[in-house]
Amino acid sequence: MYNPALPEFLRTDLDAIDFLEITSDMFWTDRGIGASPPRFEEVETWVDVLESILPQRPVTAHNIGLSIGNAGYFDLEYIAHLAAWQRRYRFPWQSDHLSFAEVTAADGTEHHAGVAVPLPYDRDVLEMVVERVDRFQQIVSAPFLLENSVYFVSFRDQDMSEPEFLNALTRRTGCGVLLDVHNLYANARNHGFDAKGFLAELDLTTVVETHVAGGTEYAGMYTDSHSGPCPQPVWELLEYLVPRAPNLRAVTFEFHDSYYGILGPAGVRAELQRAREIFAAPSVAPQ
Amino acid sequence: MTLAAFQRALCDLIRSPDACLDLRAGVPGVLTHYDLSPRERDRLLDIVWQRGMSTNCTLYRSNRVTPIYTLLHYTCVVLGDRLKDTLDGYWAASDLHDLEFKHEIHRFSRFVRKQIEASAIVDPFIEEVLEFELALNDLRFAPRRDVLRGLQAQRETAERGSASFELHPLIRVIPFRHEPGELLRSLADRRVPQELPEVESFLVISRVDEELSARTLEPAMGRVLWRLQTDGEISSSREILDGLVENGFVVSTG
Repeated sequence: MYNPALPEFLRTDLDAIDFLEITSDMFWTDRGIGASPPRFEEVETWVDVLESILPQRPVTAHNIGLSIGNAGYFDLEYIAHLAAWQRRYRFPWQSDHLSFAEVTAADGTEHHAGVAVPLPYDRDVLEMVVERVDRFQQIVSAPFLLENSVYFVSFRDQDMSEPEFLNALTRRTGCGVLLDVHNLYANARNHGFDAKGFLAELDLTTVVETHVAGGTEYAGMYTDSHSGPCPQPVWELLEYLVPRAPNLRAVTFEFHDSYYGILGPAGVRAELQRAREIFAAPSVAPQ
Repeated sequence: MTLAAFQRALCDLIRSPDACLDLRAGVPGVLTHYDLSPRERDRLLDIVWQRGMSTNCTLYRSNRVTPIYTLLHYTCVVLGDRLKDTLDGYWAASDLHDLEFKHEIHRFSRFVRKQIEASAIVDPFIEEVLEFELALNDLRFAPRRDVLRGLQAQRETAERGSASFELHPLIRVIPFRHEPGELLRSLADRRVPQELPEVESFLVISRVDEELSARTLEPAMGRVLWRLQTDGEISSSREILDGLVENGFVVSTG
């Protein structure tokens, strides 16, 4: 996953990556809903890096601005911008998160929630998300994936489990799953459930991409801070997943740029190499 | 639709640990403004007791402080022990409209300026350091190539018209009441100088080239540039004006 520490690494170690994923929202400043055009002001230096990589490696778009679960507002202007970027850069797929980060105030204005907030896995929420995924896929001409989010609180009395919700969503819309194995590990660790049991419930034919990362204990929970190398249980989950996910096309290593000093180029290469070895391992019959 | 109200209530709790504690304690009225179903109300009453709610509240504050601490780092160093109260005041007074770093630092700066005006923050360095960092970020985020292309087009027109002058759009002037080099070096070491003599100085920062650069100007030149930046007026001798044009600080626009 691209971050501001990586331009030098990409110049010197491009052979270490098979593809690059970008958080497309970092490549522009969003002046806000209803702003006079252009609402999205591109960050020149970042776009330069993107355009230098595109002829050399496939680039996928991982977005953070859709806020697909915000019941108060669905930002079609934002989606139109993603569609324009899709026409311009032809990403193999685009993805976002199954959560919400924008929230509609009582006066109708939009505010940022400050954190990614999980959704209750209820039937009415499923209906809303299905409708929105359909709309997204009508507008943006690329396969679309939704990522399982990390969550620190759980909602009691939900209509479905998370895998049931994801299965229904992918079945009804045809969208794929970006399975963040580290998020799954964090949720299982924080909420005391079996990650492999989660995978057994999830329709793994829908998983197209997976994220791996490191995390830290913070404020009483294990968080997805993307702090350096992946912990061993995350690699083990990836090893478990790969032979069971026949349509998995990519493993993305995420780290926060502030940890590049600790990881260094050799550390990044090592994580990528380990991910590559697991991804390329001969498939064995899942048990 | 109650889902929107539930999300609003949940987000309001995440940004207010006090509201979480009030709900735990059964203080009446915490949820009365939200149109919630019984199930949604039960969920919120349950959530405020979960360990993860404290994590959410902490992450909210951490995410909000990140743009400020990253892009207004020297201002934070100058605020020192006052930073926490200043942030609390800011967050109480301002909703989070978005997490765009560029926007958040301007909102915070407006709040700090008001605090300075009201003498709630009294500090010899705060104004110049804040203005310096805002100018620096302004140039960092500037669409440099577009600006240079626009300027070139303007120049081509100007050759055919009468000459007028303006500050180069990729230049910013910041007046300092203390020697900027010494002050900024101290802050880079996370140290606020105990005492620094007052001296009128002007720092010019530029992104005309790809890399940001800074230099101090002698006061006569600095005052002219400062006036040009703030009022759009130029009043100087031909000699000073020629010097400013030669240095690329001022451009002829026609």
